Amino acid sequence: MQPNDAETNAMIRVHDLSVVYRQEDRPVAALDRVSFELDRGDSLCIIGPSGCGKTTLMYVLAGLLAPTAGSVEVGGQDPRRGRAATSLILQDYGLLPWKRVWDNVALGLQLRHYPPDEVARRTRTVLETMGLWEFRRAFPAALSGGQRQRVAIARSLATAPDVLLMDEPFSALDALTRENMQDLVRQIWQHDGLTMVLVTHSIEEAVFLGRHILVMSPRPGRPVAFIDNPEMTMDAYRQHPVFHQRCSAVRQLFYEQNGHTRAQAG
Amino acid sequence: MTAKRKPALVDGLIPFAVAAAVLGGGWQLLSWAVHSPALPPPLPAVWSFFTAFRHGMATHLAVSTMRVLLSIGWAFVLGVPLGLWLGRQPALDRLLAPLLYILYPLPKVAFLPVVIIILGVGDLSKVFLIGIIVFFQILVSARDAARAVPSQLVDSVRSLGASEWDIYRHVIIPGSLPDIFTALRISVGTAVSVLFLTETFVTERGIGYYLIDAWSRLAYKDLFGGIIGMGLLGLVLYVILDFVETSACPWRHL
Repeated sequence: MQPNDAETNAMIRVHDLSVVYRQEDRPVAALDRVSFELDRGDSLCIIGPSGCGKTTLMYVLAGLLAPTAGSVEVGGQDPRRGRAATSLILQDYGLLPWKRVWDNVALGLQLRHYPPDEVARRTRTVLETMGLWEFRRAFPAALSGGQRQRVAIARSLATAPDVLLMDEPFSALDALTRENMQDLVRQIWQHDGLTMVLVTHSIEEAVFLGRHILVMSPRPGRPVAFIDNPEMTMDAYRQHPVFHQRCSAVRQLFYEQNGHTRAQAG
Repeated sequence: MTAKRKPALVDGLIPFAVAAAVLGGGWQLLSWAVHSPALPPPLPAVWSFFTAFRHGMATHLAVSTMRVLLSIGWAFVLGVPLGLWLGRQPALDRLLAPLLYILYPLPKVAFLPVVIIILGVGDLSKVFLIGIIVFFQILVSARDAARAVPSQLVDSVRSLGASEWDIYRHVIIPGSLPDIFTALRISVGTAVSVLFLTETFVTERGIGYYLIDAWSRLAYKDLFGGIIGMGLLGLVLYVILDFVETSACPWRHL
C-alpha cells in the first residue's frame, strides 16, 4: 500500500544533479548533470570506473549528502528530509563490529522508535527468512563475508523499505557467494516490489540485476549511456544467450566510453 | 567448552605466580649481589609488608587508593566526553589543537607549589594535580579514538535514521571504548607515579608518605614493604580494568 505520495509512477527523480565537494581545499567535481527517472518497483544498475561518483550518487539518494546543483526526489520528497522507507547498504556492509547480529539487525527499527515487542518480532522474522537465526548471537567478525552481507541485507529489510540502495554490495565476496547473493537480492526485489538502485563495477552483475543500466564516465561522473535490459526477469538468465549478448554490448560501450580498446579489456 | 571450568581459574593465576617468582628471584639475586641493608631480601620485605599492613599501612593504602580513583574519576568524566566530541568537530579541533599540544606535555608537577597555595595542602590539591595530568592523556586518546572510527559506519547508521546522539551512542562511544581502556591503563601508571610525588609533601597520610617516612628512619624493610604495597595497588587497579574491559568490549575477545 502506497498512499497518495506520487501522482506518477516515478519513485526516484534525478534532474541535472551536480555535486562538487572540497578535497584539501580544492573543489572536486564528482557528478556532472546527471538526470534519470526510475519507476516504482523498477531496478537500475549504475556502472562506471572508480571515481566516477557512483558512491556520491548513492549518498545523495540516501539523503546523506546535499546536491550542489540540480534536484533529487525520492518518493516525491527531498531525501535530505530523511526518508524512513529508504535503505542503504554500503560497500563494506556498514555493520557495527561491537553489536551482535541480532542488535545490528534490530538497530534500524530501534532508531526509528518502533515499540520493543515490534522490534523483537520483526528482527526475528527477518533473521529467520534470511537463514540467520542460528547466528543471532554472533559478532560480525565471527561470520564469513557472505553471512555478513546477509546480515546487512537483513538489517535493511527489517524496516520494510520501498527503496533499496546498494553501493558495490558484493565486491568483497568470492565468485560463488556473489552469485548466491545476487540471486537472493533479485528474489527479494521481485517478491517485495522494491525500487532498487545498485552501484557496481561488475558488468555481469549490472546485467543480472538491472532492468536498466546506466553507464557513467570517469570523474566527473556523467551518464554516457542508458541500456534497457527487460529480459533480466527471465529464469536462469545467467545461462541465457541474451545475458551474454547484453554483457558484451555493455562491455563494448563501457570501454569505448572509458578510453580503452576491446583488446586491452580482453 | 562446558567442562574444565576450574582449570580456567588456575590457568588465570599461573601468570601471576610466574611474575611473583621472576620478580622475587631477581630481587633475591640482586640483594645478594649488593649486600647492603638498603636492599633487603624479598622474604623479610614481604613479611614486613604483612606486619605493617595490620599496623597502619592499610589506612595509608586506602587513602592513596581513594586519591588515585578520585583523580582518574574526574579526569575520565570530563576528558572522555570532551575528547569524543572534539574528535567529531574537526574545525574546532584544529583551532584548539595548538593549545592542547602546549598544555599536554607540560610537566604539570612543576606547578605543585602553586596548586598547594591555591587549593591547600589537603586531598584537593593532590586530586587536582594527578587528575589534570591524567585528564590530558585521556582527552587526547578519546579524541583520536573518535576520529579513527570509520566514517562508513557513521554514514550507514545515519542512513538508518540516527540522530547525532544515536551516532555517539551506537557508533562513536563503543568504537572508541578499547582505546579509552588503553588510555585508562596508562593513566593508572601515571597516577600512581604522580601520587607518590604529591604524597611526599606536607602530608601524613598515604603510601607515598609511608615510604618517605620509612626512608628517613632508615627502616629499609618497611620501605620495601611499602613498595610492595604500592605495587599491589597498581596491580589490583590493572586487574579490575582488564576485567571491566573484557565485559565491556566482548567483540574484542572472540
